[in-house]
Amino acid sequence: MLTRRTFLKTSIAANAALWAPASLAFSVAHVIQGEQPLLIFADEKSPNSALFAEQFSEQTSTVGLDIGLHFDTFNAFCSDHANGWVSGITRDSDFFVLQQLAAQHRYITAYSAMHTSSSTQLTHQVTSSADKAPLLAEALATSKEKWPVWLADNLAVLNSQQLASHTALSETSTSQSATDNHVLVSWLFVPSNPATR
Amino acid sequence: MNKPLPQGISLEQFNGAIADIIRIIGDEYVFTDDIKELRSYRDPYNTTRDEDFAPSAAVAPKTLEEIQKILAVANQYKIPVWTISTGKNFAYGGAAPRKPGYVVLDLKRMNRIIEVNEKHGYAIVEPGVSYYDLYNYIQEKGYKLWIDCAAPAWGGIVGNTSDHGAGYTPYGDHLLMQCGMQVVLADGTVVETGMVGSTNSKTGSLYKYGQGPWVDGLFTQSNFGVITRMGIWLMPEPPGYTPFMVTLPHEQDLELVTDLAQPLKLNMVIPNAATTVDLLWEASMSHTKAQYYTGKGPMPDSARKKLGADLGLGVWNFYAAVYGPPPIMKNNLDLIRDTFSKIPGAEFHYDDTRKGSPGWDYRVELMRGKPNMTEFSLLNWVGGGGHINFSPISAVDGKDSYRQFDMIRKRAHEFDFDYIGEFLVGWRDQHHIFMLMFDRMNAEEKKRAHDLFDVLIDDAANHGYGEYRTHLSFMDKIADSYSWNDGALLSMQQKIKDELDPNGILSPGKMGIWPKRMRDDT
Repeated sequence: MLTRRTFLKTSIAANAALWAPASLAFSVAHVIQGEQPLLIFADEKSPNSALFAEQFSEQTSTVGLDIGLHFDTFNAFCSDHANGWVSGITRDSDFFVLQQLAAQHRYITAYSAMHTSSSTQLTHQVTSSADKAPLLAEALATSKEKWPVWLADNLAVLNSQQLASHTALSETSTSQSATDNHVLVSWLFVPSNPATR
Repeated sequence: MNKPLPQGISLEQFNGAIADIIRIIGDEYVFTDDIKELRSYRDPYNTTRDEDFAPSAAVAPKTLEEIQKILAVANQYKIPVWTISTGKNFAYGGAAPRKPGYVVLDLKRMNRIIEVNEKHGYAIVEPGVSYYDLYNYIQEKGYKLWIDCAAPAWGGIVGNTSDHGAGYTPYGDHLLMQCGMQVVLADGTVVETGMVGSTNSKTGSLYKYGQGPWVDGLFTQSNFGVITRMGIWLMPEPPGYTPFMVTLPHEQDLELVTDLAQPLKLNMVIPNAATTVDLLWEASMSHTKAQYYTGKGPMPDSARKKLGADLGLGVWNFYAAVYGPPPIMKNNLDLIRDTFSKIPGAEFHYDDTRKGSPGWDYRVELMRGKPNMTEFSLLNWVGGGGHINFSPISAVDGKDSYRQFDMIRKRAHEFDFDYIGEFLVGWRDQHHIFMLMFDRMNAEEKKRAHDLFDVLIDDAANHGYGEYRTHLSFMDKIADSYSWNDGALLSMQQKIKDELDPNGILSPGKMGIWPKRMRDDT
């Protein structure tokens, strides 16, 4: 009855819509060329997380319960796709665990954001590069309840080879009562550029 | 930010040492880029400044010979190296070193399972072998053996055992179940302890002590050598296993349940490392604080009552298991039921009523040695999931347990934190783990957590309690609290340190043990 399930899917997203609101003018410059291997993690107990995952058209598999069960999938993906990206909207604990695994594969956290919901308020605390963080925070707020959709559509925009170290905050009111787990984290891991070693 | 360097080492010297190490293990496993390579060697949950524990580099050898050569370089340049196995010691510092600028000696790549012996029930593993690795290996081979894993279980067997970690099966005291180790000393000498030290020994993983002083403990929670191999005993798969949980409705029930559990544990009616877990720890496996309380400070009693009622949890929740042939399990369970039924309002639970509840499910797995990561759900309780563990030892004694709980709870509330804790019932002691949860993004809250921890060490010492393990930030203070006879214990440890590691290169400051050349600075 209290079971929490995590589901994930591996997808090859062929530049799924990279639409961005006007406020994020730099989005075009970051459109990915060619196919981008993606591994998406989401928490099916969270409606916002599920909404994010639904934006990727491939079949979704439910294999969940414990993040430890996904270690093999994560490690295999990182080993098999030198240029793969891993993204998701999860609980903070799952983000933390996956971030540690990602670091072992020399992936960096290009972007993360903590999304805190109360009864009528939604707060986004974005950690990204200095130039992107405020724009991303604003775009998330502008998207209101559809912020997971915006993130899915703009995954390419989140990419950066700079360490995500700058935070920006945005708040928005929402008519939707909070059914989610109070705090969620969205994130994107990308391989560090070996040339810069 | 400037690159952190080891104390007294110039950038030129540092670069020279790194170049020498690259010649030993190659460029691929020498990490120096702070942003792209060294972030996982920081402590994500430190309560001070991030740079306080920032390494200058990390190096990951694959073989014992490579370790010997790296230590030779460290000796030449007097560069401190901080040894980790899998680096998952979160809440106590993770993979981060005690001081900025150390070079992390990461043994993750040494991940061979050298032997699993089903007949005699043991395994010999290298430091990079995680609990998941060994569990999966045993499952693949079909051996009828159980491991005993820490929670969460992504950590390493050697690291957890050498840090005096604990698990939840009858083999829950990990160091007690350790048998034989291979150690590289600071000068490169390789030592095999116990029976392996004798010529052509065939009993290295069967008898711990050999002849003469048993020295294995010297290499645990210490900096006297680098453990490169360890034997551990594995429990034969029993013919039966019945986990159970007793929910207890009142705060004072901690006294009763502890006193009733004590003889059951001592007489091995309850054979495993049982746990008495508080409400919030259990609730955090599936819920967050904000779902029940959004105000400041600790959760009030009214919200706690509703939480407990909604989730069918007690103020305390006692977990244990019985193992063996069904008649023995039935006999022991009857005795246990009769004993705990003396507590008014106590309710017994089994798989039929609790299965599907994350708190139950993960403990059922742990008590049979199946690794999982569920305990990390604790991090979601307040958001921004920072945590450090305050871990004093108490007697398996009701009044003592309650006194310790009350001492910590009052201080936690004074500093506006929830008490979230558990008592892990060992043979004759309890590991009391107070999970101090804070928002790692909130600087004020981090400082408050740090201050609380600092006060708790003093409180505990004043009440006669010592901690069994601690975070990097508090190693010195806790070492000082073991102060009997003018700190004779630490003085002895320092003498051993100076003799075995005269240049002070191995994990300086680990558990408060500093080498001579760094003692004055600390």
